[in-house]
Amino acid sequence: MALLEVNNLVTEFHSRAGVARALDHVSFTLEAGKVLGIVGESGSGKSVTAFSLMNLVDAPGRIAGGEIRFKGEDLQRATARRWSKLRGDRIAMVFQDPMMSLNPVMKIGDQLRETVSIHQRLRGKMLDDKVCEALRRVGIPAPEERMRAYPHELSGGMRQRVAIANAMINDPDLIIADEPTTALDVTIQAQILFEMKNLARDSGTALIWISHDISVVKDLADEICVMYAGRIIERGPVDEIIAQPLHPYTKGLIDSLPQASSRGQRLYSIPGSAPPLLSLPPGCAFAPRCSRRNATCDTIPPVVAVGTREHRCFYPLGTL
Amino acid sequence: MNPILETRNLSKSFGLKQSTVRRAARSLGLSNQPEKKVYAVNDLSLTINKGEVLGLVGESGCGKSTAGRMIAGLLPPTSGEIAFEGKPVDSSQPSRHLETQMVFQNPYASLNPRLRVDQLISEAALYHKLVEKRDVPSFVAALLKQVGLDASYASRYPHQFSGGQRQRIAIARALSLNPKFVVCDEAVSALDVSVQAQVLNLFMDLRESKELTYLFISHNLAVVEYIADRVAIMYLGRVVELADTQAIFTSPNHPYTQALIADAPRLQVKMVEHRPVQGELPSPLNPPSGCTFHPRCPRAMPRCATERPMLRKVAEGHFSACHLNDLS
Repeated sequence: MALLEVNNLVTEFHSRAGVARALDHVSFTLEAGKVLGIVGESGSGKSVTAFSLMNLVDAPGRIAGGEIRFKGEDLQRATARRWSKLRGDRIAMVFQDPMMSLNPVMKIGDQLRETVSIHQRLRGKMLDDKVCEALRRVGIPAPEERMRAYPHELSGGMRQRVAIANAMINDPDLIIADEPTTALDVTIQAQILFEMKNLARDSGTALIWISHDISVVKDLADEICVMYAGRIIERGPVDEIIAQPLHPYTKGLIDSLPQASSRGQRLYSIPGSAPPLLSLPPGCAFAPRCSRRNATCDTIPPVVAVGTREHRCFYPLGTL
Repeated sequence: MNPILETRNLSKSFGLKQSTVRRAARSLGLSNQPEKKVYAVNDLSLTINKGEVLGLVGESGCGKSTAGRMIAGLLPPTSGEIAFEGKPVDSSQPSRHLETQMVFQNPYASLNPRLRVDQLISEAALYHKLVEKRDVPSFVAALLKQVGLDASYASRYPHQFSGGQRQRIAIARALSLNPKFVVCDEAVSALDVSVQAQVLNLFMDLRESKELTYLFISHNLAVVEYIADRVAIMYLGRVVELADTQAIFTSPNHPYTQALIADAPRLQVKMVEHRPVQGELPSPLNPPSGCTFHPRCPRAMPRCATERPMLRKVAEGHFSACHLNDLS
């Protein structure tokens, strides 16, 4: 049984201008200990996926359909009480801005102690040792002293490490990380990616890593989902997708990345821009920007499985 | 080689906030404590040739934006000088901005939300009397066309545009004075990948059609490798390495450059159990002695902690500030 099964998840936001479907029949599975990358541009639904999985979608948004199964349990039926037992203990989240998840007026040690003591009966020295160990695991030097620091006394990279330590401290089965390194410098990002890879491997925690940059997820993820306008348009092993994308959007995204080999030439750029969610095209949302479109593309393409891969395109690359 | 812009020993320091008592004590000569200063940029000497793209790379806090602002004339240097086409620049003259313009990182913050696009684009040109009031519509339309936008957008406000379109408007505004030199400070960092490609292409097109020279400031190595002819790497206010783009990426000399290139995620290169450089950028308030990179450097020697390495030639057109070059 898979650790996490998401079937046809639909999340909608209601406004006076209409209903925006931020997630449209999103389905994927994640095995224990694996890393899933979710890639897409702004507005494609990456963060809404994370918030839906954590049941953190607030009004005017709501989960309008579908199923989330976590270790076999249907999370749509989970009560608020059940959720507060799950969150921070079995499923944890790391946000882009660590200041959003850290309390600015609480010492770091106290915040981590709180995360543990809500879910376990642990006190005194045992508790302190656990917090210390969690901070050491994410590469924070002199954790005994850092525990007495407030978040503002730490650098951005150190704060994000604290947020990761806070997510990992109860050995959750699943961590959802929403662009956790986007605000960080290159060398700090590399340190955190390196440490996360080892931590996930050693503890057997499954990881969902959301990023707008496919080259960041490439070395970390086993499998990636590419999102466009609320739908997963391609899914599969990361190396295969980069080597041979099936969906024209994925190919466009990869080709738009500046590379040394393209020096002096113009970069490929996908014509047009992403459609607003309130007025999506009737069929494939990418069709108006796609060079391979034809009349069939006015109906929504179904999910097609090809071996270990899936895509939503009537005319995938490599055919015709 | 035809230099368009040269900086000589350009430095910028910022004083720290002090209590009134301490300030009074110093002005009365009662305190001999030196004033605390942060050096954001130290001894920056760069030569930018006509028509080239110089990439300026570094992590946050290394002083790359401060350097860009001084070069664009938005921030007066503490010491040192800037020469444009051989003549020293007087930063207090408004006409200085006719030659150098700047494009900023965040097009959501750099455009006044209360001005229409035509007002945004024509404001500077009207001030410098480059255009008559009655010619504004055609002037704006021509600029919008150059950056790939429809002329009908002139009467709209910034909030009606997407991020990529806003950055195009910011570029049109920078071009309105017909500058020869444009400082791009993280100009594509806030954009999505597919939009970033469009804006990078626009920069390349304009470079050819208007013979522009760019100082391209970025933390994104993939973008710099693509667009720049030469690259300067900054660390804690100083340039540590300067060379042709190809030399920087294929044979980096400085250990910091080597770490930066190895750590940057790139699509083609597989990171094989690579161990990233340790530690963080030290505080410029209290910079390490000697070579400022030595606490993080995997190859630091005792000498690195005491003596600051100078930027020296290691190959033709390749400069690096590292003591390791004395060993071989």
